[in-house]
Amino acid sequence: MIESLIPAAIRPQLKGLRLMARRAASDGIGQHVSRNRGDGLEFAQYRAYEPGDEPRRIDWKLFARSDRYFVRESERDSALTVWLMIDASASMNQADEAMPEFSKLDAAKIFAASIIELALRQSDRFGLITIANGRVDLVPAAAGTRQRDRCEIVLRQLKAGGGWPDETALRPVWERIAADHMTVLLSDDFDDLAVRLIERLAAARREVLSVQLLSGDEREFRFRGNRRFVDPESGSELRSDGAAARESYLRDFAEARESLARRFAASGVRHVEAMIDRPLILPLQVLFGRREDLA
Amino acid sequence: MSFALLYTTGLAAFAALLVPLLLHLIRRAEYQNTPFAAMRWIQAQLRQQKRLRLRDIPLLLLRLLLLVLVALLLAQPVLRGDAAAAKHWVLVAPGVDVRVARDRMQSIDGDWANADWRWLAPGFPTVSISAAPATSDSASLLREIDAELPASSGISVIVPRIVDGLDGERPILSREAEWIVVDGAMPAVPALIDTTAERLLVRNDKAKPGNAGYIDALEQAWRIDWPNLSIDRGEIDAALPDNARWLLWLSSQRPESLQRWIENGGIAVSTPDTDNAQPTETEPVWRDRNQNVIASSQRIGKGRLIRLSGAFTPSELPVLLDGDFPQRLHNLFAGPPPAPTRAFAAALKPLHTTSALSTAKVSLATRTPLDPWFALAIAILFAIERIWASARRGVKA
Repeated sequence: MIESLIPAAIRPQLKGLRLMARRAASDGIGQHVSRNRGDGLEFAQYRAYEPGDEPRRIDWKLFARSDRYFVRESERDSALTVWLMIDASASMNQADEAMPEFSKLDAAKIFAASIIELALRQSDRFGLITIANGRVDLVPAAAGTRQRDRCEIVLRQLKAGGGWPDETALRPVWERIAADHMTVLLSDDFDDLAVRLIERLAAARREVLSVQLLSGDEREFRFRGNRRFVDPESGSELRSDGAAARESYLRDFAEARESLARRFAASGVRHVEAMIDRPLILPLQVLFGRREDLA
Repeated sequence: MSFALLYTTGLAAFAALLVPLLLHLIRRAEYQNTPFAAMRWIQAQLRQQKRLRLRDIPLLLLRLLLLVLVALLLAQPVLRGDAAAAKHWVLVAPGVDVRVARDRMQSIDGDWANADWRWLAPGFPTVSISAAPATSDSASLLREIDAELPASSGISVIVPRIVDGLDGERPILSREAEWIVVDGAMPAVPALIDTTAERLLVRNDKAKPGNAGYIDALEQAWRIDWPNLSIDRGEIDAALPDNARWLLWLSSQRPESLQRWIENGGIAVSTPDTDNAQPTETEPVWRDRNQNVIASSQRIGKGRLIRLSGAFTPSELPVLLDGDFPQRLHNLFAGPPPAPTRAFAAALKPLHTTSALSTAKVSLATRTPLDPWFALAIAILFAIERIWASARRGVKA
């Protein structure tokens, strides 16, 4: 059996989390408050009647044939659509020197799998957008365990490389992400194009959540001795003494993080920083935990 | 117990300590490659390293220790034994009556009952439990026991009037040996001199009748010193029998028969060749007082041809008139006589020297070689070093 993408330590902690749309979300009977009433228009599947189901949703013709209660379920019943947008540019290969096997992309995959798990539990629809080597790949939004498996296959095969694509390559994103869809961007947010895409999505009435993945080395800059720093995307090099460069780096980097947080706050994006060397459940709890739990 | 090194030159291997030190010096130009996505926030800050820095200091120390042990191993480490246990040794030469020796020792003050009484024989057997063994190298045995005993134990040597088994040099010991001469004779040791009868051919050139007088004199002299020597005189055209090995060829002719006889293993002493040309590949075997070569030997087949420097006349060969000429000529055939092995004991008291060579020596009997322990420690340290170093490399990769 293939090992799950979600580590055993995280899975039980997902129990208390819920995907919550900030705005009263779309149509259908789901866990999200809906503006549009009515049953699902697109038939999805039958399921056995359970106490609590509305009697009018029982398919009486089927009852007449089989002498059992079945409930018609429709695609549109799930109220929320979550898009997981994963930045797999070369910079996402960054890992800590203390833990060289665990890159930011690995952490992003765990986050994506966890959020998919949450969506599956709530019968929400979810889709996957991966951005690697300057192009965009999509798994169209759907619900159900098979959709989860589809997404997991894509996630497992995902390898980081290349840079951020230009506007035309990003067009599928705009075609797929409809208004009121929730988008979770898993990225290091080092590329300004990525930040601008999020700002524009938020301005276009999409609900956007940003998880910025940061490594422990970036946060604390524990390098010693002479280093030749190499930018994985541009390939440019910089020689510096680790300890000597630390102070100015930490100052500038903290400033950059703050200004990013301000930009996201200004455009209404819920932004959280995820440290890949710390428990990964923490940013999920910030985004999806109940408010009273956090307080 | 104390630590000592037998071969201090081995400590020159300490120079090898420089190698790991150099290897562990951090080169200034070395930069470690670091992929870093947040590079744009770094400002280049190059710092000159003013003092020398070493990396992996624990590993360096381990390597230095390893080399120190190797250097000490090369210097042959030993543990010197405790000198308090030293006893006095009484060595009795074979041929001395033990009772006579004991009586003689009674007359000298000392605790002779507790002394170690041994035969001066290979293995130094105890006097009381074994009969007098035969021995042939007394001088060598004396040096051996001197080297083996701790420096503090004394030696008394009881010898008969005439000591046998010497080797031409008076023994020089690292301690003062008590030298006691008593009556008695050492058992006869079979002589090493070959007494088998040798046959010497003498062939004279008819053209040089003057040689005959010298040959007569030689014959008379040899008869006295070597009665077993049979001399066969004749002209140069007489046959050269194969059972003879020595030939005195008093002619400058070199007939075919002579050549063949030498090639079959004969030793011929001859006057120079006719043309007086000096053949190559000769080796001087006899020089006079002024270092002039009197005889030189040339190897021909299995035998040798020894050429004298001149004809058999006093004008060409002045040594012909010397008193030891018959003896020296015989030596050309038979080789030098063995060194004397017997001497009067009174004249043979071993010399005592305190020269650095003999006192610096550690007694063989009381030292424990530490080589195996050092080798074991080196093997263990080397294994640790290998594991450690490869683990280091793994971390870096």
